[in-house]
Amino acid sequence: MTPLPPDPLALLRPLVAGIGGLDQADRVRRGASLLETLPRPPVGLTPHQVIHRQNKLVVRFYAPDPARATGRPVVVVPSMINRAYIVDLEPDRSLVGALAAAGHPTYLVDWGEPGPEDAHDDVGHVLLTLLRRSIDRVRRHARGASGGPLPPVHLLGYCQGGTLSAMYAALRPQDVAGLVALNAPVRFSQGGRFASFVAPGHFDVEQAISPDALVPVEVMKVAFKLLDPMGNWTKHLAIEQASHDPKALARTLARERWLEENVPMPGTFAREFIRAAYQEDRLLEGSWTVRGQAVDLRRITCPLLVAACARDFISPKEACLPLAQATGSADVTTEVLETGHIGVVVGGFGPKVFFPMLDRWFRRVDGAWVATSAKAGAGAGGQDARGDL
Amino acid sequence: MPQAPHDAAAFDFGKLSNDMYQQWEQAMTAWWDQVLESPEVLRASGQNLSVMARARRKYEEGMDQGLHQLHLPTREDLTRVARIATLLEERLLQVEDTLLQVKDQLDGMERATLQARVEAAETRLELRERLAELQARIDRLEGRGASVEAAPAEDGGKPAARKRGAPGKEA
Repeated sequence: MTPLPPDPLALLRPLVAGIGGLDQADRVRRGASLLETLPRPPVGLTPHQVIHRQNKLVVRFYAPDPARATGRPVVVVPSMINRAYIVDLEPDRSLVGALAAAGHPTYLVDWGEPGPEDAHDDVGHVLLTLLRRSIDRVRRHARGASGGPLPPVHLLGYCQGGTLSAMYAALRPQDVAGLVALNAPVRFSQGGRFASFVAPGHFDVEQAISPDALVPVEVMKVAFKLLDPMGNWTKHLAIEQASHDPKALARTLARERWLEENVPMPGTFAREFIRAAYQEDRLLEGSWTVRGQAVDLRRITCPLLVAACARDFISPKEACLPLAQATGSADVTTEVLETGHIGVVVGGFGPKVFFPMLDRWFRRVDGAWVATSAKAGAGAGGQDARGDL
Repeated sequence: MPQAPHDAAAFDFGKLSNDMYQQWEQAMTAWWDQVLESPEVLRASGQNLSVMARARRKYEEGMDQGLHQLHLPTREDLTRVARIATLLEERLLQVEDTLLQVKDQLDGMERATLQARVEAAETRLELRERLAELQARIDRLEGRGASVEAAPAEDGGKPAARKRGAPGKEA
């Protein structure tokens, strides 16, 4: 661990110690100084293998623990505006690491960082070219060299990645065996403060976002900071508090990478997403068309887990939970987790509560599938029980 | 004797300042909420974003013009080259998609062919067994015929009634 840098104002600290406001202000100053100077801990350390690349996108495979190996491949789809390592920030608290250790063949769609040449990528390209091909390669990798039909996958979409996963499952239900929508907004009119920022009366999407350029990271950072303005103050307090314990400080700085390392969005994608989702709220209506095909969520018939967080101001639960009623699935589980948008996968909540919950859900769904397949006499060959392969 | 309210021991400056800080933080949170929910502020920030985007575009256009006059590749030129590379990669991946599909179909055909060959071999084996059975039966019948022909000479011409019922059983 890097030693803490010297504090030039340390001599003045006794003068303000114990005097509420001044003391807090001094701690914020020290926290800000530490945040500025300390190197960030390495992330994305869980061993993996790259199985597919296309343009900036990379699909990573996390091999399951052979002693516990079970079930179908799980494809984790993070938001396009975050780095994919947000689900692998710390080795002992990694979502992908936990799923692999629990025996699930886990794949991570790392969208990469788009360049100006990708500015014209639209939602159709993202869903039906990038994601479709990634899922195809995952299915081929999971099937192995033995041949036979391609197994459908479980999709685990986080935040915007959850929205995209739900859209994908509606467009290509035959590829998806189970869907987990984590903090995935679908009723965008309830999308909290971000929905207010980009509401049609306040934000002219045609003027503000060029289809020929990327949405700059700086703009997105400002928007995220404004979602919780006082959070920028209190986070410095948390860093200062953590600075007394190297392990806690490393954890806090790893979490900071989640917050500060955004990815620019292709302008065309951003325009379409903001207009169709946040300004016109088309997804639940079923009027969002992607490459001429309507995204009808009722076409999702696979088992569905809708997980939202009670203290989420990025994707409020009111925006996420309506997915449970919008699909044609007969097996829907809804969970409201007592944590925040980031805390669900970063920090102690994941390993204690959320990751075991996911493991149980995947095992239950896979178990039901095996039973159905055996009944249908198709289990041995790995064929899909629904017969839609 | 009751303590005076202004007793120095009861007065905790640290607690007071902490309370003041908490109140300030709550007030600031409420103020930010109020500001960020205000339609005027939201509209102004949206307009600001539009202005920033336009300014950025103008700046980039200016830079591109400058580089163009210096006969240097502009950002747009580089983007175009990168776009071509991306499209080329996409074409290759489409070819890969097609090849994988063809491979799937060939694998399927190979499996079907193998299955058909296995079934044909099994059928041939069955037929061979059946043929062997028939051959054995014919041999037996021929042997019996020969023995029947030979029998009259040996046992005085009486038919072998017991042996005649046996083929029905064998069938």
